[in-house]
Amino acid sequence: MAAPGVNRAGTVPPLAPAPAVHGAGSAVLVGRLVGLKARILLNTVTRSTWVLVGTILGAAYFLFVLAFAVLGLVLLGGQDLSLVRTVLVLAGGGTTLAWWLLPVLASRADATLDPARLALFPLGVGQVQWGQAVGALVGVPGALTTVALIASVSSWRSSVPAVVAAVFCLPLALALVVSGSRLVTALAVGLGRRRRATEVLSLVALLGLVLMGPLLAGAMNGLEGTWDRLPEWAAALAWTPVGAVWAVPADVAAGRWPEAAARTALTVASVAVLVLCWRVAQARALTSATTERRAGPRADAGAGLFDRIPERPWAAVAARCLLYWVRDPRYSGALVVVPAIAAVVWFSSAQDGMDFLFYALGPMFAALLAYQISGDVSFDNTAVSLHVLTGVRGLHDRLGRVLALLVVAVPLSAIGLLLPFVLQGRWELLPGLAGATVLALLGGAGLASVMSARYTYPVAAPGQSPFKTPQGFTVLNVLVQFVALGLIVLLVLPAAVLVLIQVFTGDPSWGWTALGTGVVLGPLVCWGGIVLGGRWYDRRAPELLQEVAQYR
Amino acid sequence: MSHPFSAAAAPDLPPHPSAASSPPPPRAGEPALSVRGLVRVFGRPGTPEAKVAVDRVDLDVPRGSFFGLVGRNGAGKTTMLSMATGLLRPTAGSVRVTGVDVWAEPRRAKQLMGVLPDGVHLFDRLTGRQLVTYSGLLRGMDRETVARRTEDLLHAMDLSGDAGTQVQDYSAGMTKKIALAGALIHAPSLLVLDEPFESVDPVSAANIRAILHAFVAAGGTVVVSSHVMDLVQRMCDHVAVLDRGRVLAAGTVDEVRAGASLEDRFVELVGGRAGAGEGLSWLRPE
Repeated sequence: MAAPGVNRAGTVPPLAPAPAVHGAGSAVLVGRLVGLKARILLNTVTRSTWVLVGTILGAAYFLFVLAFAVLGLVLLGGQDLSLVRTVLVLAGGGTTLAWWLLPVLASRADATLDPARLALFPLGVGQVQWGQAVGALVGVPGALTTVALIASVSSWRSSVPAVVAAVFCLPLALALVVSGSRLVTALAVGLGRRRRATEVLSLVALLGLVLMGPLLAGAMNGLEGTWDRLPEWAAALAWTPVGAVWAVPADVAAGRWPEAAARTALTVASVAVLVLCWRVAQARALTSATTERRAGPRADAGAGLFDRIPERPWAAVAARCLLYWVRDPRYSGALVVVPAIAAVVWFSSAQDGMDFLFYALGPMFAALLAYQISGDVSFDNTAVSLHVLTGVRGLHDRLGRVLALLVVAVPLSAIGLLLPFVLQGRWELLPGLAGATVLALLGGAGLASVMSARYTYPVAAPGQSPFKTPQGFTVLNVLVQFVALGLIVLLVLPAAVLVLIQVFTGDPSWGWTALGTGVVLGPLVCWGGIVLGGRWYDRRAPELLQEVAQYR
Repeated sequence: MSHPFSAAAAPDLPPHPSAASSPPPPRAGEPALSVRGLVRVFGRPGTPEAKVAVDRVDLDVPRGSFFGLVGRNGAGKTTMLSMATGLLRPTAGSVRVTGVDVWAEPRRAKQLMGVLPDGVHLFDRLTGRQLVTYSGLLRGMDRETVARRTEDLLHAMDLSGDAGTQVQDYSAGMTKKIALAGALIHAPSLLVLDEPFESVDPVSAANIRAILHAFVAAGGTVVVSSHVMDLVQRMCDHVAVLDRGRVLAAGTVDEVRAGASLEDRFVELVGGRAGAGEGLSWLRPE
């Protein structure tokens, strides 16, 4: 199963030119590495028609974004130079940070030229470095950044010296983003062997990413006239390694030569340090690529949770799923996102006229957690073959998964439900919203039980980073997920409408009706979903297994 | 430790039905595994992409035999075994396990079988002990039996020291062994093992072979797929040669190899052997 892209290569490199390896110069080898990357990219894309369609749509989206960026940059050229400087320093600094931080998030996002895979070939560290650096520009983000950078040159067009400086800075900026990104990747390879460390790190990174929006929004709200402060921030950023290179053309245009020289020196020094560190990290990764670190044996007796459950197949499934909610970052990631959503909602509800949003926290938590198990079989991947082989009844399989969800989601949804009332009062709305929460959780669970027995969609395979984009993602899969989420929202509607009526009429009996609706309808939909999903599972478990086997 | 199973776990392993899982009594005279006209086509039949992986296979595995299924990579071994064990729906044909139709009465048939599939994920966030326990509980066995057999199996597979480690931290060989333990927990009467010795170290492989031989001696049936001919010749009493989805030869090992070594006979049957080093004249140390 190793490197599916490589063995599908249309042109197999001939075995013959063995002497060429000895005589090949670095440039040739670098060219081959880049060619390898391009070939893998091409093969991944052309694996199947649907992947190709998905890629084309994705490409269209990126081209759209890129066109906007280019247009903006070109239009920016008509503006005052100080504004150009502020915008470019901030945007450039952001781009640089994104390049540097992305490898942490996506752990092995760009594994095609992973040092571990190249360790067996007679390549020098320098050659691999060049290959990776140039290869980075062959990928989608590399190409986008390069085009945007070229467009940014035009932003300086009101000053000829600035344009010259910008052209000079362009390779410097590319070197900065790529070397930083590759350094982080090389470090991540080392970290990758300590599995738990990467998992925690990526979860923290995700949390940071989700919270960044509301934090920024909060900062913007708090500080009146943020707009006026942007130049100050840009000025500060322009003296950091991240932002210096983007400010050089402005200095040149204004004739501030000492500043221009200082910033250039700062950037060159940063690149040099980054490349050096990268080289050291790379050398370590290349030589220790295959030494796997293994956790020491723990000789604790007993089977943990499995010792404390009823002796029924559904209880076993529930216990296993529960362990996965805790141990597997693809599940615990969903748990981390929950408080992050609470924060986002709290920040957005702080704005005028949006405070009703905060009260929807309980149903929101419930719906999102219930939605998570619609991908249960996809997350199991071929491990679900154990369920097929042992002949577990569909009913038991479905029931176990829902029970595990409830153990996790009931306390969380309860917190989400009560939090707004504790903080902001209006307790008269509690019964109605409790009804909506029950409906979202139980109804959603029932719906997800049917969905995951019938439709699968590609998710990160077991053991992969939860952020790894699964292969073979198609428009159809996205549609299935949207429909699932949409149906859950539709399910909550009866209770939600009753709560809204209560809000407008002020009559609390509507709220109690909503609670009744949730308490009656929720368990009904849940049980119905489990039974129907179980029947579907019984009928087509082998087909389900075939489907998920394709997601690697 | 030449016979690790003789003392500790042997009482559990012979295929007498346990009270908890109570599989139906095997019908006398029926082969342990009987395959008739089995076909699997991948892709839509009739289109150019359609690929026949298994092509009208008939096969009988006698009860109490140690049966080897040999073939090259891509010969259809895994596809055939997947259909025989209820993992992959056949395009056509039938499979019976001691007379029970796998696709008509899947639950009854699955109680009779212990299966080690090749190339599937395991629930590898569970510890080794948890994974084996899970396999037992999923089959509705009672906890006490599961716990006792789990310890016996961990001991027999030499995994007691790593029983508390998550399976994802196991080596490839250890992973095979823990999956095999999970396939044995319900004391099946037929074991279907797809490449059970791949990346398993020689000592563990010898232990596993001893376990399997003890199982056969007690009346159980074992089907093993492999492309290591020496191993099959030494270990099995029956063999079938599969190539391009068809059975080229089947019978006792002595019948099939007809005086030659199984490897030579296999190459003769399958063909396609290139001359020694032909076309690789440059392949010598400089």
